[in-house]
Amino acid sequence: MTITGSVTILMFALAPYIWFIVTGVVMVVGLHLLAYLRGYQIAHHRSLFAILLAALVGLTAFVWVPWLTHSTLGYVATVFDWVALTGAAIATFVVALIVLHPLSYLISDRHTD
Amino acid sequence: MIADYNFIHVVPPMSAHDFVKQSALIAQDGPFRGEWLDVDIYTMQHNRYPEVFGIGDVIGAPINKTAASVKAQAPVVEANLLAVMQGNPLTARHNGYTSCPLITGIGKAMLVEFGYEDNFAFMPSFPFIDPTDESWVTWVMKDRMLQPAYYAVLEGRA
Repeated sequence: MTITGSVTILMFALAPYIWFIVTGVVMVVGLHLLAYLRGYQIAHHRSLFAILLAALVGLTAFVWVPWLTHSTLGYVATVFDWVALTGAAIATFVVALIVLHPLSYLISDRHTD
Repeated sequence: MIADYNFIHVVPPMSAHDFVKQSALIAQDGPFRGEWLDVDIYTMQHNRYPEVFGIGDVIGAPINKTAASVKAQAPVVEANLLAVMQGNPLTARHNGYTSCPLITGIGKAMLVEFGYEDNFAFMPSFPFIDPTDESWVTWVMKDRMLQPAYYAVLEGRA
């Protein structure tokens, strides 16, 4: 199995969920656009709550990602298993932060609306 | 027959299609006699009809009844078929690569890859995946990822 072959397999596996991924991306872009229109700037907005909540959501990936794949955390055994699961948790944290960070700005009273 | 085992892999009776078995292309002797296409397992060329090549489950080979093998054999057949048509020597060789994700329980599996060399020694594609380890990632690959690829191959999309 080659890297190219692995990517090909991954693309076919993701194909049925493209609509879901695209919908998610559109919603996130829409959220960011709305926040920017109300003065949101990533570098200037500080939200410890958003970071902590995103980290918490990321940590939950260690439970629900194995469950979602019909497995359990107990079968995450090899080094590569842990690297992959940790990567999934980090990705979950990043996605959660991308959503929660502008959301925290919108629900706070610091924006000009 | 009663036997003890730690791991059992039951293989049902199998053979080439009847139209192959009833043709002169079938192996005439050896372990594949009367059951499988008679090809050189390295060049994929028929052992008695040089203009004929075999690929996939139909060939008489000690391993290789996998999609991974077919994917590895296809470029060999293509190159050697062109070589025959152009009157050149056959240079492409199949190393017997095959890949068997073995499910050892619901939620875990082993990615066993091996080939002809060194008495069917392991041929791991990735050094960080040990073919003797039960792994969650291998399970995910087998359970969630390979099936769409199998169907894509069957439908000619991959």
